[in-house]
Amino acid sequence: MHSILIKVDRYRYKMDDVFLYLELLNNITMGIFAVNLDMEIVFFNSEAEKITGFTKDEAMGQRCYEIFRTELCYKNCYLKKAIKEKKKFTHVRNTILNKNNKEIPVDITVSPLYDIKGKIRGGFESFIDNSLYVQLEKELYKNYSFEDVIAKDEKMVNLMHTLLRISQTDIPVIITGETGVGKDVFASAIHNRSNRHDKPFIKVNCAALPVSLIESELFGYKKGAFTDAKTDKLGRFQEANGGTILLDEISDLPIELQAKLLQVLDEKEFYPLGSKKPIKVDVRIISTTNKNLKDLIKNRLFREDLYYRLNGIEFEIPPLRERRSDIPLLIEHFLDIFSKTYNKTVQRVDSNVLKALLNHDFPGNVRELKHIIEFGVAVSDNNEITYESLPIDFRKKTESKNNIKDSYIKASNSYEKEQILNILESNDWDIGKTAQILNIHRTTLWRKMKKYGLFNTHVA
Amino acid sequence: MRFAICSLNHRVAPLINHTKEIIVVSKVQKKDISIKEIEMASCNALEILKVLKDNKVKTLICGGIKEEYSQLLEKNNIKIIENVIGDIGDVIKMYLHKNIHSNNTKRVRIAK
Ligand SMILES: Nc1ncnc2c1ncn2[C@@H]1O[C@H](COP(=O)(O)OP(=O)(O)OP(=O)(O)O)[C@@H](O)[C@H]1O
Ligand SMILES: [Mg+2]
Repeated sequence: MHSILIKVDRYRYKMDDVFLYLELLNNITMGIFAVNLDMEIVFFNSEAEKITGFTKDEAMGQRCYEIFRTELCYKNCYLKKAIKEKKKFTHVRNTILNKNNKEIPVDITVSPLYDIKGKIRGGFESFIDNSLYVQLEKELYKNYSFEDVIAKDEKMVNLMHTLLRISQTDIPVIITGETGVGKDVFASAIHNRSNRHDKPFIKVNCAALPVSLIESELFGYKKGAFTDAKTDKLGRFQEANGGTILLDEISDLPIELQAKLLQVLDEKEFYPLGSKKPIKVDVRIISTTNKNLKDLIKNRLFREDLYYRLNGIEFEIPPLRERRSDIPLLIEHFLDIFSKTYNKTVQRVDSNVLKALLNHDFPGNVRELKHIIEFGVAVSDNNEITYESLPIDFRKKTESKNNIKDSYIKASNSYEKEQILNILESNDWDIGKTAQILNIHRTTLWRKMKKYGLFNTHVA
Repeated sequence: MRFAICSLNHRVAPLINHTKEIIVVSKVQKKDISIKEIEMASCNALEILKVLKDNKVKTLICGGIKEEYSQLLEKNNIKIIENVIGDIGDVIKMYLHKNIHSNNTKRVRIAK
């Protein structure tokens, strides 16, 4: 233990003082650990246990990089550097992989550790969980990386894999799906995973702009193009040069402008309003819509040729009610975010809430779930969201639905089958848990599983 | 019995994405154990999966494993024993002597 003493002063410690210091370090709300010159952990406080998920027993004596598991450990270990250069480094950003194999952003400070005689004995690192800060920062810049798309449903995981493959290419993408399913999140993820990630990501909402303004917004204008055009204005396409442009609600793009967009796609150039000189641009186009473009084409509201140019690949994000196994995961994710935002420690929803949420049809999809959890966290005064702390309009909806639910389930076997399967999958096929969520007896659940032929095929 | 270990400098790679070698251990009979070392030029999830499939391995011992790896491997019925720390030789011995347990869950968490 002596090697971990910090050089507070050069005088000898009485044993009592040592315990006092250790007690102090243990109770501080900051992760702290120390290593010897072999990078073996010789001190590990309670907060370090909390952030990493490893207990003190598991961590002591291990090499720090085998516990913290960060990318920096391989490239540029600051703790090693502190020891070697006898220097302190503050507020270095890093990401550890905790025991649950979840990535946790941390802010670290490192310094060398001396013994009483002033001889260097190892290093010392303090770190704080930086998730909230990183999350806020991301919200601020509205940048979602691939990891921010939370999903475990098989359809979604397949989408993510496709996404990963196509993000490196320049092919245009159309993302469809109901409101709130995560079209924007996916679009940002594609950009962030592409080679264009350090170039602009520009979002244009085609539905939010008055028709008269869309053209100048997208393509810009020359000074004098019309009465109010006192200076040149850059269009969004120019701003996005080298990067990605997201055409949100592409279905609302007026038919006259569709021709101009087609020209950009075909010739990679366009004329700003009032300009005779074409401008060259290199942008990747992602379009989103919650309307059916093929129907619009039939009704001549959308150009078929444009549709085929935009559609290098089209994928539909399924509504949340068709991937209920994502619900528990998303709940956890939003609890995490909003607990931090509201400075609370809400860790779970109680079983009634889970049941209500798993049964809800979510016309507003993930956005609706996010709002419900935010509300619940904001009003809850302990570490659990209870049914009573849910928004009143949501409660009204589920209660009226519950009255007819029983007969509905009986009428619709396939619904029940899907529901059971989803809950089983989201609970790793834990029969006990699933029965509890469904509020039925285990044997009833077994019977139903047999009836519908539900077996876990993933376990070897 | 056959299993594989993600290795870096003769220890279990602390992060699976820094695996340098995949060690495939097969035990045919009591004393008949063969060990094959496969060098990985790069180690994205698909490449690891390919090596496991090519070598008919269904159990993988590793240290830290990021979600994109575990999802792909689990989807392909690979049993993952994660958070293992230690020297490759020790880990092989421990696994052969059943000191690394897998209970019923698909993923097993152990440290040390
Ligand atoms: N898979 C997901 N993981 C985490 N958060 C998600 C996910 N899907 C959606 N969200 C969250 O839900 C909200 C709505 O998502 P988003 O804005 O991407 O939906 P959208 O499909 O673009 O909706 P709209 O059609 O109304 O524009 C956002 O706050 C987003 O952060
Ligand atoms: Mg949107």
